[in-house]
Amino acid sequence: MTAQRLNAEQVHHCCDLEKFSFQTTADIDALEELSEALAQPRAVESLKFGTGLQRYGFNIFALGPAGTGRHSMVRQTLDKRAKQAPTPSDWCYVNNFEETSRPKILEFPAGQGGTFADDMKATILEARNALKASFESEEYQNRLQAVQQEFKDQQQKAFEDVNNKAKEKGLSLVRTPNGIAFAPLKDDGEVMPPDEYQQLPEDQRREIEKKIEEVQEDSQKVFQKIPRWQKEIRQKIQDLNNEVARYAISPLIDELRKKYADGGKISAHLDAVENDILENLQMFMTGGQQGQGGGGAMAQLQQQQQGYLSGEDTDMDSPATRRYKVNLLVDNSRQEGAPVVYEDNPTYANLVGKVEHMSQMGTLITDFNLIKSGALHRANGGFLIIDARKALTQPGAWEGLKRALRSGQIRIESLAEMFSLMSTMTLEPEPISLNVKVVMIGSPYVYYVLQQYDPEFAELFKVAADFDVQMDRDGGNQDMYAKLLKTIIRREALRHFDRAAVGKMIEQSSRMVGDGEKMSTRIQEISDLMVESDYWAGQNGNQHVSARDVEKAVAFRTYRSDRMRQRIHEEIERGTLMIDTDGKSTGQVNGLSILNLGDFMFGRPNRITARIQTGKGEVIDIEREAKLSGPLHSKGVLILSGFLGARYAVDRPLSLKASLVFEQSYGGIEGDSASSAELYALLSAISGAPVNQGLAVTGSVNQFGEIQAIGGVNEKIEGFFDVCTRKGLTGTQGVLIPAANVKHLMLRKDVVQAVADEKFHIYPIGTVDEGIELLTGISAGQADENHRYPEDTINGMVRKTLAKMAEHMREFSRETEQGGQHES
Amino acid sequence: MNPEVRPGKPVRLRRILVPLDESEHSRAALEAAAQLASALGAEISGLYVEDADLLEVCRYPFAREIGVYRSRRLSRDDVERDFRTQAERLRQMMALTAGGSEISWNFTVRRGRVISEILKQTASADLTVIGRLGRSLLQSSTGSTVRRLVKEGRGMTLVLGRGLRMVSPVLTVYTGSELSVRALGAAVDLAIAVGGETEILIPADTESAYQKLRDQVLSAAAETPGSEGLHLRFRRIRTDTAAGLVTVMQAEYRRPLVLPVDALDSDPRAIIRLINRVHNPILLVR
Repeated sequence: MTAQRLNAEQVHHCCDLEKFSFQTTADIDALEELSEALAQPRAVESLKFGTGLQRYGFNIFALGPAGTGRHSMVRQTLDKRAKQAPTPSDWCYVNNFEETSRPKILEFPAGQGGTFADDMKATILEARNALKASFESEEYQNRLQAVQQEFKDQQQKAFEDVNNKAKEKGLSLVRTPNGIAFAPLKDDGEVMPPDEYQQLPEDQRREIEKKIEEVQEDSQKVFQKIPRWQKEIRQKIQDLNNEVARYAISPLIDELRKKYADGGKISAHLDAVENDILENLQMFMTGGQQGQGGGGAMAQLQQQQQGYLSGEDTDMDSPATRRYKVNLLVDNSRQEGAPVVYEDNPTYANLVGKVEHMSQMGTLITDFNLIKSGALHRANGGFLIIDARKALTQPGAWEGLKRALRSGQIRIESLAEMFSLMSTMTLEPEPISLNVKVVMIGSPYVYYVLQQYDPEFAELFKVAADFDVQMDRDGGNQDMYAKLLKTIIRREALRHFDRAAVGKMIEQSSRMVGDGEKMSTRIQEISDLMVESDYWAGQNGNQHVSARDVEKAVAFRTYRSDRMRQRIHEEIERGTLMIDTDGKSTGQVNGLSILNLGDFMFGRPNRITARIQTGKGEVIDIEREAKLSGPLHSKGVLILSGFLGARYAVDRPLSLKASLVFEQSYGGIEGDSASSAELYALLSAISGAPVNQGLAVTGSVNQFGEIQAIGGVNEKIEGFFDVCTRKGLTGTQGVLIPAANVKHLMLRKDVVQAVADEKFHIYPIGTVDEGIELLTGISAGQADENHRYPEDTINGMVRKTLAKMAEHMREFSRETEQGGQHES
Repeated sequence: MNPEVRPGKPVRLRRILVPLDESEHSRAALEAAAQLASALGAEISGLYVEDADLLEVCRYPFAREIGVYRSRRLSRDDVERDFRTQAERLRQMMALTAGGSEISWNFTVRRGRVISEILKQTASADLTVIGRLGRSLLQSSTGSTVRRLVKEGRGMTLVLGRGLRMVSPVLTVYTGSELSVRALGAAVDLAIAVGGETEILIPADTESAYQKLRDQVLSAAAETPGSEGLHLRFRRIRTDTAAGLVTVMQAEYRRPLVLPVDALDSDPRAIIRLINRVHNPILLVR
């Protein structure tokens, strides 16, 4: 039943170079698409499905670990789909003349938005010139003068009537600071001094006073008419101005109508522009500078009477013309097909757009020209790619994105406004209808968290494109992998790799995923190793990258990161960390664990010891008691109790108390890969059979004593090999691994060599019995029909010890009971 | 033909009188005066006359002021206060207009009959600049003060309306009279002040008469040193000077005219008719 050790071929799945038809990567073609090589049919088909199905909620979440080519493949798939899709519309915000705080949105066929904006600008500037010419024209001046003269004549006639009546009555009209007054005249036509008046007879004075009262009354009536006349004259001038202005600008607006009018919103906007110019002629002509000098109704009337000649031509940034500008929010004039937008910084504002403000006289103001587009605007009609983690960590971004997708509209609202942080004037732009396919890229963890905790996520992201980190390593895929390397060589401008280097890359790729039958799909990691290999090829003066350069790159990468490993191995060698690599000890086994430093992980041996005493069937995990172990480790230890009870104590109580510990472990233990080692330590302790310390053990065990696969098998083996090498290889040392892990073996070159030289051994183990036999050199023993084992076997010794313990326990219990009776 | 010479006798302006009220025309007169004073280095004297007749009227028990917005008993105290308020506003306007151009200026308030006080002050001024209309409600093209000033004023008088400024070219009438020579000098000075040309209108029945007067100007120019860089233009007009001027001035909308009064036989009514018929600023040279 003793396990057969593995040979060198079995511990490292070499790449068969003879199957390659090329000498270097220069002889092969690069890939058109990365997805060809990455063999991610599930992800690719999901992407194709998601991008093809134009229905609510069928957005895509591309999940997979970083570096698996998610971005590249998503981009390629979307680009391909986008080329076949129609180019989406241009979008422009324009002023809402009825309610300026709610700018209107206009939609144009691709490319026409910019043209409309340019045409509108030209039209407005031309309208100012046309209006200026019209108001400066002799015809307008004559008509204006005629209207003004009418007012003057009307006023003059009224006062002349009053004046004449006054004269007829021997009175003089005198101008006062704020109006007029009347006084009696002398015969010489001069105003009569009051002293002379007082000397007149009383009846004459009374007569004069009566006349004065009459003219005062008449003149008061005239004055009372003046505001009405002024109003009438203003209206007449307004009518004249409107008539002249409409005549000047209508042809210009008509040209726009012919070119763009759709009978809908654009036509309505052009009508609104025309009417607004007419309603705000003064501002339009003067560049919005009116009113700055103050002045009341009369000042305005005088300004109107002067016509609108004082305004100078300005650009479209003046207050008067800004209101007619067209804010081209989305310009697809250069777009061919649908847009594919990647938003690298998906903040709330970068996604849904924002309304900017500018400072004027110490106040923040805004208008529709300050509306800025977001990624959703630019991607509307196409595809938007965002990183899930970034979107989730930006305040409001995720909620904003979901709100837009759910409502099918992009509504620009500021975060500050939403949280009532800012009370300055802002806008509520008309929402834009949204038709976008969002592809979020994130880790599986983020995907599953969202699935679990955000009920809207499943509604909005119905398509998952799941990227795997590994692919099968068969002949066809190896050829494809070589092409993938060629693609990376071209992209990164590297030296070509020779055939052996390609083989080494494939082997290293298998090592990355810890599986000799798989290859890694982490493009970034592969690309980095190739760049480093290219560097060493340059250092070595090689024209092509060789296998040696790849090995150098791997070795140097390890060297850069393995300071801690060296330190641990050194301390083992110096005896600080107690690990035996030869001799025999009872209740003591070399377990193997993994230390993961993020970009580098390595294995190290741990001394696992077991001590026993009579008890009530407890197996105490000291790590757990000290809260230094995780749940998986605790689970593994509990399984041991199940195994022991079922195998050795079917017919009597398990009267054992055992304690297990990872010696000199201070940082916590997790995982069940040491459970077989712990079981071997227990069996050794119970049976009293010493364990060969030249062997290390890894593998988990189930309640039936079967050894199960574990992770990091290569690192664990190499960890023990390194320690043995430091302390001296004896030729009998080796590692017991689960048989199921043999396919994962991709051991380092020096380990493989030691195996080939029979200086180090790898034993695939299927059961606990195989393992204990190898470790103790004593047969495990088979149970007979009465569950009895031969006494000279491990199982027999264990059972015998446990039987003794049970007997001791029974005697102890009886004595205790009797002692108790005496006492009572 | 634009000979670059300086003809005529230069006119020295030391003091410019501007009678002021609160009309738009008066404001235009002040701005034109400031423009000339700045260019010619003269001083501006603003004058506001408190109407003594009005104070007399206040003494009547029945005296009332009828206005657009209210009617009130006309008391001397109210009128005195209004005078002070108006005077202060005009002083501020003057400070703003003249002070901004760094011109030497003063402002005087007098009490009396308006036209009498203005006429008195014109005696000590080289030029009187006045708006063509005052605050009269009995609208006509020229106010009563302007009419009296044209008739009885002394020195030069510039009459202009609302919204007008002194611009190039400056027109003048040359008849060969001594007054027209002075007017030519004033026109050239004005043209220099506004940085432009002088256009000389010569009333003549025949070409030879026109040429003769034109040569007089040119020879006078040739004898005047320091006249380089000036631009003179000539134009023949009808000998019916008043009608000829109306035609020219209406075509030369807003251009100033320097008019020797003897060109219209020193007839005030003819001069007032001309002022009434055109919008241009008119500088009367007596």
